[in-house]
Amino acid sequence: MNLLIVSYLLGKLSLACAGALLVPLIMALCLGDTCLKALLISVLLATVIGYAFLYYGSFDDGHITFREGVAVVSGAWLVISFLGAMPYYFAGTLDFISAIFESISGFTTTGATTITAIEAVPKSMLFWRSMTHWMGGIGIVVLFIAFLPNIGSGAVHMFNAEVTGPTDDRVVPRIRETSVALCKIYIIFTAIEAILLFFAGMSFYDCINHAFSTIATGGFSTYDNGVMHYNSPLIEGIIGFFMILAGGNFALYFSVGKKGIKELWHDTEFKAYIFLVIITTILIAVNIFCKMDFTGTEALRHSFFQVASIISTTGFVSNDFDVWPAFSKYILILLMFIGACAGSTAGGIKVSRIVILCKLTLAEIRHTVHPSMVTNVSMNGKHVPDTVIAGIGRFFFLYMMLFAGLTLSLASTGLSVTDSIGAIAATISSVGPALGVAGATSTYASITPFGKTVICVAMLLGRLELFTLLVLIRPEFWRSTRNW
Amino acid sequence: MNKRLVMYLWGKIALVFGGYMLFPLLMTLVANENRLAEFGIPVLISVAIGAVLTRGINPYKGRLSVREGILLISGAFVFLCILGMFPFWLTGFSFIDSLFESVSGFTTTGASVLGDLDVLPRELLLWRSLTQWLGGLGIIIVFVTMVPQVGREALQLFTGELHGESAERLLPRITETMKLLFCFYSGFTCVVTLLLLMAGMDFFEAINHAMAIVSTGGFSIYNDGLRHFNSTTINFVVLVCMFMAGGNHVLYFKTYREGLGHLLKDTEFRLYMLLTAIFGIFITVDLYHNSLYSAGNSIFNAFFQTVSTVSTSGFAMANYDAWPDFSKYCLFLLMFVGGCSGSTVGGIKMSRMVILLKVTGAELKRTIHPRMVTTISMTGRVVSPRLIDGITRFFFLYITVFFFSASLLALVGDLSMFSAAGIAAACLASVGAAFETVASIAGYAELNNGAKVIAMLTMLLGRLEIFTLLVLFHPDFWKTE
Repeated sequence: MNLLIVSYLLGKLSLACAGALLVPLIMALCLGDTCLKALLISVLLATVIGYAFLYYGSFDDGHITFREGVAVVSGAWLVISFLGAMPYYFAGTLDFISAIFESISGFTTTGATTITAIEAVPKSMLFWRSMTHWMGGIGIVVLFIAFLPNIGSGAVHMFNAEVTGPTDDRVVPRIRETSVALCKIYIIFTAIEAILLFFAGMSFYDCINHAFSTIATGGFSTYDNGVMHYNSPLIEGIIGFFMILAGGNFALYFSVGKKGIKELWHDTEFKAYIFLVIITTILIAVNIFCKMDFTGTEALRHSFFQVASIISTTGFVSNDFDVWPAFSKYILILLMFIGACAGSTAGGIKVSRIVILCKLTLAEIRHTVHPSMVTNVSMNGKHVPDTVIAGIGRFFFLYMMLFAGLTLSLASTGLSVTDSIGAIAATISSVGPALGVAGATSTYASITPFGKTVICVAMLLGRLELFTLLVLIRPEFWRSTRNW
Repeated sequence: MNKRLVMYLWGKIALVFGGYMLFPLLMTLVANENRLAEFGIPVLISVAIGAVLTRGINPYKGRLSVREGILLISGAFVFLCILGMFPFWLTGFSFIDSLFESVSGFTTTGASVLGDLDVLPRELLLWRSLTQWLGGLGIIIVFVTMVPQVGREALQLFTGELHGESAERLLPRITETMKLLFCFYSGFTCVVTLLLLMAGMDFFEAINHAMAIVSTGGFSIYNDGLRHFNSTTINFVVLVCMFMAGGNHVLYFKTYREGLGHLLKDTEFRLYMLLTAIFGIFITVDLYHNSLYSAGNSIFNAFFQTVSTVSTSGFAMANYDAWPDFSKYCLFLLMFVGGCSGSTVGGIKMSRMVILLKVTGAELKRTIHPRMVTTISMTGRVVSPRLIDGITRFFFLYITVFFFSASLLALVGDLSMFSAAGIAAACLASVGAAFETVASIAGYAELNNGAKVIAMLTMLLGRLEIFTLLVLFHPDFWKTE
């Protein structure tokens, strides 16, 4: 492992983070917010840490292999989460653990919050919160690759370690151009949504915040009761549409831009995704219509918004789903696990993996009937390689095991079973609001510091799709390859 | 598909089943009670069906292929469940309740909907225990001896066992193995009965509980189950015997021949002991920490419930539903794991867990060295990639079925989330007792009929390891070659 280059890149990233922190700093200056000092200290701290990393590291022997890629990505997320927490901590908004929690929740686009009175927090701080979503959504390393000078062929390893999904699909051959293309789509979507929300009646400040939060599938809002604050079907409709859009594969949108809209219907994953949204919306609408006193349109409205919000792992809340019938909550938990499409900003297992797993199960049944049959599974008309298939089965098992282990740790803090399951399901797939104590209209503030640490681990593991972070704990990862 | 051969074998099973039902019938006769009809009629029905099906077929002509094997096993299970419900039905229980009790018995789940057991005739209580015992025996026989006949692939599918020979054909001939397993199972039952007698039960109590323990079922003849005896000795005997029943029976036989070292070298058994110990300690600490019991009692209670759950028996020594949530969650997780293959337990099973854990470790290694070729071995033998694929798919399907069952139970049965999840997990792994509504196995009586039907289907799916039942619904299954 070449630690020098890792350190060099982490240094650059810290400086970039200091640069990003300048945005809320300038805002605070203009608005005269009380958190000005805290932001200033954070910027200075990020700069100092950045230069410290740069001083130690060097880019001379600039060859990034798989290991350095993984180390940079994992390191970047840890460093950035730490730096991003500083404004909350220095301003006294939150204690240290909660500040780290808030920052990780922001960068991983979870949207779980520990701030109980959001409206009392200065505007520039809330803007920083939404910015963490927006930067974390596309991926901090992807942003880095796109905006900073070329770092050579090794970028592919960093890209793969951060971008979600079972296979890496690049839209253009060069990784830097891919990153730029993804960022362009990302920025365009954000801009369109912000404009639409502005015309739907939001203030300029609110519409930027909510657009950041939606496109990153995060879920932070500038109000205590989030989207419920507006109680406007139009705003819910716009946010709902963009949540679903943000849950789709960005690489797919790129080819739609090039080859036309029919590309969407050639994509197995996207079709399955839309199908899931429709089916679950209907199921929940019928369930809450029968069991609660909603009118038909209300039931459909809340059901659609909640499905869109959960499947895209955003976590906006238009109606307190914690009081919905158990069946609806089960469906929502299912959607939390599934998550949206690969290559999106969403969390969860991802629709493409679920589709492949379902196809494999059918293949297994066919195989039982015809024992010597050779079965293969295809997506979008292309054969899925065996290593990918094997990897997906293992990913699913590992996901479930980590889910069980993390839930057990959380339950040891005294949380009830349903609450722990809900909280981990919601954070490992970066949704945010869960059930019970950390439910739709509540926050994570009441959880013990140990519980918050567990949830932080869950959020990072979920965002980086387990393996990127887990390989770090294997001794052979740190062993030198020179003596091979 | 050789349907006639399958029918013939079903007929044979019906005949044997008719004979088996003579036990409670004899008991009725001896006790000189006027209950001949309840058992007489089902005996006649079974014998009649058996006679019709076995008539005029030359059994030596056909060979069983995978499909016929699957049809035979799943058909026989459903068939036995239906025949086994008659005694309950004729006693006056509703159709759904009788079927539920029968399914719960044959799948060795041990969930009960009969309500007050004190008012029931003793023959009926004996019949409940007998269904479990036969269900357990059937599972062992099927998964250890029949399955090699069904084919290599299916064997792997059924048991999560390794290789063709892994169901460890003790002796070359299948009938011999069957006899041996039958003897072992019966012998084990006798030993447990004797131990329970010595611990202070009377003969009827001892034999009923022994059958429920050996088959990892969980039926008791008292409303309050083991709490009726309030005896530490009995609880201790039950604890040890449950643990034994959750281990691989074939392995015990080998241990008997080759010494104790063989038992301790077995990867699966080691994981079984390890997990029991870990979760036992977790729960002990939790119970003691919340000062529910004294230190000694915490250990005893924790391990009793851990073993009862991991061996999928479902006996209860204390009201564990009042335990802290952490302990309950531990028990909930254990339901998914289940005991060792080659026994009567349900759940995902230790052997599959071993392989899944190892495979995941290998995947992490492969992430670091992408071109690395990894092999997985268990107890010193290499596991084929084909088998690993089958197991990961089984895991996915198991979780999926659990999920659908839980959400349907919540919808149909109007249950809380945790309650529904508990029932689904408990039925799928054939544990029986779960949480909240069904904290004791008798709680199932409170479910509505829709929920009972879903629970029944879940039990059957879990017992037949899901694929065995699901393939029946694939159109190709019924097509002729």
